[in-house]
Amino acid sequence: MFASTLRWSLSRAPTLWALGMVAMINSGVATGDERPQDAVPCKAKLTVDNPAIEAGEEIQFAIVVSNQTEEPITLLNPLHSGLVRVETTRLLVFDGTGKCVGDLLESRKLAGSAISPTAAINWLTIPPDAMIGKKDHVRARVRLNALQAGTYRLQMVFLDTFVSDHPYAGLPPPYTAPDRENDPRYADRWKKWQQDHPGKELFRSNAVEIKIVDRGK
Amino acid sequence: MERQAILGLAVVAVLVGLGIGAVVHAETSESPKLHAPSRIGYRVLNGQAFVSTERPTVRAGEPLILQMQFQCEGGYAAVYDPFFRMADPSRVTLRVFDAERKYVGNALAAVARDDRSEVRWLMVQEGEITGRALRLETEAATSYATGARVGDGDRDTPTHLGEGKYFVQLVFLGRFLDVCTDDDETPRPRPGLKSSQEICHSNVLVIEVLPRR
Repeated sequence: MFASTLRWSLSRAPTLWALGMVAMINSGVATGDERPQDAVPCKAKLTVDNPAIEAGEEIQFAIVVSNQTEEPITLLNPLHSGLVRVETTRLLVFDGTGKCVGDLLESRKLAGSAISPTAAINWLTIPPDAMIGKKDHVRARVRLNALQAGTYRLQMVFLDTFVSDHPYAGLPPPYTAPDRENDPRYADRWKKWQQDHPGKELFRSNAVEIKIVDRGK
Repeated sequence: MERQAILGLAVVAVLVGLGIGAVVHAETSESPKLHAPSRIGYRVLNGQAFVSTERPTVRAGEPLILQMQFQCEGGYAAVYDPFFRMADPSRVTLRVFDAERKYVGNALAAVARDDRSEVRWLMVQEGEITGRALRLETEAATSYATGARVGDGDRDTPTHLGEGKYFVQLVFLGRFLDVCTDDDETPRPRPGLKSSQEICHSNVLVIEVLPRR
């Protein structure tokens, strides 16, 4: 049973990736533009420690998000854990012509274990002026293929899921509800949250140029 | 004779006491100084402090926007007031020095203490970054908050920076590493760490306030 499921998943993986990329293009994130960030609740700053690397090497980067509003805002998965399977960010890579090549975080979103998407621990409320971020690293490859030598631009795109209240806000914590499994309030709230946050782009970081060099030549 | 000896001892004791008092007073009233950058280097938490700005030179009347950050490089601990909202000079200070490196004051003290923050404690581990942006007003001359005493160390509160060149350094003190007790969320000093102990110094940022056009 498991083996057949695995075979099914593997056989459809390229299709799913392709669908993901089509969705990315349709949602308007396939260009390298740096849009003005004045009207959005957050500002994001992307920096790369090693902007020149060899094919397949890891990119060391830091992403810091700051609250630009005068009120606290709640963020889903602000430290970009791969355990949270609700997509909130994409680290897009654009080639020299400005064409989107893919999402460097894609493989992280497909592998390993996960925690409940509605767990309260996934959300964090930060006050006005506060900033939160992470130094991280990701291999310079898209769909298991290392980026070839050339110049690229990296930009992190934040989706509407990123700035979102916890779906159960105002309800008693699920673990205290006597009949949580049959309590429709939780399921209804989660369904509405998903409808309200379809994964549209909300804002972007700055773009950073990187070079994939071929030291063998 | 005996009375004279007792009187002599009493005088000596008073003089010694005064001397100790003077030394203690001199130590506590000493102005903060610029330091070379240093890391928090405890097993429970280690990392660095950074202060930066996208616009280090402004005209008098324009605000300076400074970014204060803690970057965790190891360990795993709950940090109290991770976004520096409490403006508590026994935890974090943003020290400003003038062009002669003379202490001007703690810019963070000018920020209104914000008790509304929902996040009092945050578990922090390797790679994570927390901080805040700080808006510092500028004018032709430096001014202090009403009632603030100049020469009061990290409690000096400059509300406006005057024209001139300044050095800025973010400093973490002993209470930055307070511990969270099990029974409540009241921060308690970490055993063995004095609240006045400076445990981390950031880079030194140079900023300048130019005269109005």
